Amino acid sequence: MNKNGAPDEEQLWFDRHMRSELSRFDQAFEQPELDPMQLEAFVQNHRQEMKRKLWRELAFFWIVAAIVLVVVLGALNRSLALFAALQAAAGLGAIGYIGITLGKKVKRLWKNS
Amino acid sequence: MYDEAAIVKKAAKGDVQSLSELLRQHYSFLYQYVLKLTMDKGKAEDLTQETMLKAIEKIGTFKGQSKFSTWLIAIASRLSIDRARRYKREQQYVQEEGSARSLRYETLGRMNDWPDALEALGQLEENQRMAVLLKYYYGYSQEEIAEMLDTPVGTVKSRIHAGIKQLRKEMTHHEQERSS
Repeated sequence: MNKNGAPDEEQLWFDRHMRSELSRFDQAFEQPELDPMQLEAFVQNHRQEMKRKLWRELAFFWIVAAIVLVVVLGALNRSLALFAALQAAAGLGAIGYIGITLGKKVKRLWKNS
Repeated sequence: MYDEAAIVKKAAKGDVQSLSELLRQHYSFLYQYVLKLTMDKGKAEDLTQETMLKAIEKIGTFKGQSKFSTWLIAIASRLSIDRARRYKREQQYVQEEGSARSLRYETLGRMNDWPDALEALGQLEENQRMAVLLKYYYGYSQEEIAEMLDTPVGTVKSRIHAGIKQLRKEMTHHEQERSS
């Protein structure tokens, strides 16, 4: 439809020249229905695989978190200045990351408006 | 009676049977969209399966604000865009030529002809083909397409415009060829 509510000319052209052939093509490549039992097994298997992946990632996260904690505590034990520098670097990194992510989002919204 | 909203709700809560039912109902529709989009049977089969796997992973985030079929089309389209980015243009061209020929051959077997409409559609770049199909065949608005593809509306408009212009040119060319 165009702004006046009339069907747009290109849509009419498409319906006249393309639609019926594309519908025929769809009909020609209609797929037989999948077996419900097989499909359920497929869904179930993928769910289990996702769970395993999630646990692996969680374990990796805990290991990294433990390493970071040990490093931070070590730095705090050794020198307060080193600890402050590490904290400042981490803070700046986080601000930079958030800034870049937000910037990209705003840019996209601006382009879409 | 088939109540999609209720089945979607159950599926989003983790009910395997409901999700399987939704995928079963939409499998052919999804495959037909992807086949028209890629014009390649092998790619269409892979992309359909990838879309189904993604749907299984993301069903918990689907709020049912659109139809399930629209959600599947959006996933398939984004996956197709990601794939296209991954492959080099030249390699793609050589491969596309071979698969287009094989699809043409199979379509001849099933439909007894290879319509000009498909030939013309096959001549479009994939992103234009996607925009034209979503707009004119499936009836989505430019804004909906932009949201589905996570692309600026301006880009969608220009792809639709360029795509339909190219289609008309190809179709006119085929008509002239036939009449001469």
